[in-house]
Amino acid sequence: MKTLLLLEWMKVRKYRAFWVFLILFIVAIVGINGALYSIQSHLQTAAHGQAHLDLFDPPQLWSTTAWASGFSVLLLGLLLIVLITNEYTYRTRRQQVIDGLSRKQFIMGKWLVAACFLLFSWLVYIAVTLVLGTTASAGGDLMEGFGYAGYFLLKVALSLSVAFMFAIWLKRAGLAIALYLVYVLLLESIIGYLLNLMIAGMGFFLPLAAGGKLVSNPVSRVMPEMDHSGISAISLVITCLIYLIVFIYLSLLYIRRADL
Amino acid sequence: MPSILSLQQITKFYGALCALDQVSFEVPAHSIFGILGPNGSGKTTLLGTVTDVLKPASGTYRWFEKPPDHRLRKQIGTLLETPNFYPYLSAEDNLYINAAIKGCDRKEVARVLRLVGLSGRSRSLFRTFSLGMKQRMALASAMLGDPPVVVLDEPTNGLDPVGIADIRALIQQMGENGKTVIMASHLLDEVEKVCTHVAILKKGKLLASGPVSEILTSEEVIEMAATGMDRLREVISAHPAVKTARLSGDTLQVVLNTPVESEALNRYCFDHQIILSLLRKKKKSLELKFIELTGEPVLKNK
Repeated sequence: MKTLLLLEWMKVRKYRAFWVFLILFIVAIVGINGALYSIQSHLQTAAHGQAHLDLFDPPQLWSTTAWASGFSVLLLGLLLIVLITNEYTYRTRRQQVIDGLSRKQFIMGKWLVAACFLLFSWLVYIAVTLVLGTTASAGGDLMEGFGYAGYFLLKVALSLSVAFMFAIWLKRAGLAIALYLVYVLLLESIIGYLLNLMIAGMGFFLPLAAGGKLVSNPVSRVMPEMDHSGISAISLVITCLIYLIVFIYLSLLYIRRADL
Repeated sequence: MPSILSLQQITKFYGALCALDQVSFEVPAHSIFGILGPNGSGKTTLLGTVTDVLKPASGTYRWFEKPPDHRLRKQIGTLLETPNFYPYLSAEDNLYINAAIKGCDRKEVARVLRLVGLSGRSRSLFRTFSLGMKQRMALASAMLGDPPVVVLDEPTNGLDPVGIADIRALIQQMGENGKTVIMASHLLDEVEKVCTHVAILKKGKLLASGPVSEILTSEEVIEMAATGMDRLREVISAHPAVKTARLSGDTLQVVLNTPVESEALNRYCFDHQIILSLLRKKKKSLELKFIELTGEPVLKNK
């Protein structure tokens, strides 16, 4: 595993797009959370202190930042697609198998990259949350509501693994990125809507919706009547885990049989 | 002699197209083994199959008399079809990756770059290389860790005459050092000059395999001419000893199944009201042999 990680590092460390995407990700996650905080401040100023918004107070704090940070994960998904499809474009996945990697090792190397992205985004999320919490909250135990950090992990894992599947299925960067964006931004919502028409709540069991629902937007918590799905968090967590296992299994199945 | 690679009944389809049709042969140790065939005959598919990048529909292969395993491939240096590297990395950074996979020392990179004459460009990005330089780099990669077996697919593709001579010398040197070299080529001349053994493929079928001295032997051809070549061809084709008779320029090239004296052939023609203006025995060229084996005439004959 150490060798596989080292190999992946050798591939990306001098790859400019890799660093550009990582920096964009940090800028995005800080920017979105910062924007939300500044909106809250403006609203409070406008209300002359009559209302108190608690988006950045524990226990809401972790959930708010998890929801806001979720959008920037799209960038890591795109980067993952680029890194995987590069191996097809440059035919290097072929060369690496020829040189003595097993097919399984090749795909596991890529899952390790996804795992590193997951850990990285989690650490950035925690750092941003702690900074916002200390500066913005009215007090209280900062670690209250930390469970949402776990949900955030699941959400990001799902986003990345969906990107992973698009990349190995479509093989070409442009196509995979386009379809991934269409799916994330549009298609899943439509499918989810149609599923909900058939059986209420079914739409939340689509891969991205399951992760997304766990860290749903703060407004739906402020106004609970907006959220009438009645789906328990635990069923969503299990759904997420099943998706992850199925995606990893499918990628292994695919690589065992495919012509490279 | 132990076999380095053995194939049993390898069959591969691309959709409905049969790219390899029950191909079986053995590559003996310390041989320079040529896989010869015209473009599209299945050479690269064959090499892709034994390096696990392509999955055969049926059949098995063994390396070093063991079932396929990715660790065995670390002892095999392979150049398959095109050089595959990261364009945004330098020559040495690319080869460090290959070396890490093979589990060989990083110092190897400088050695193999020197071997193919790319030392001066080791820090240049791969994307700045010419086709010939990319091909040299792929050869360098195949020689990382000094593997006992080297697999080369059209190794002289894209090289200039000096480069071609360099590479051929390198391959022969590897053979002299006791390595086994398996190379695919569509150039009969290259296989004849470099290889000790050969397998000939045509449209996915194995036509022949064995030592070059047995497979690519030159045989006797009888050259004939007369007024009315079509009539001559018709008559001579009917002779029981004649294997093939094909028109080539102004003469008829006749290959026999069994030896027949020139006098007898002359009399046979005369009996059929043909007066020969030319009757000459000559050694058959390898080119002709290749054409006969693969049935891919260079010139269109009637």
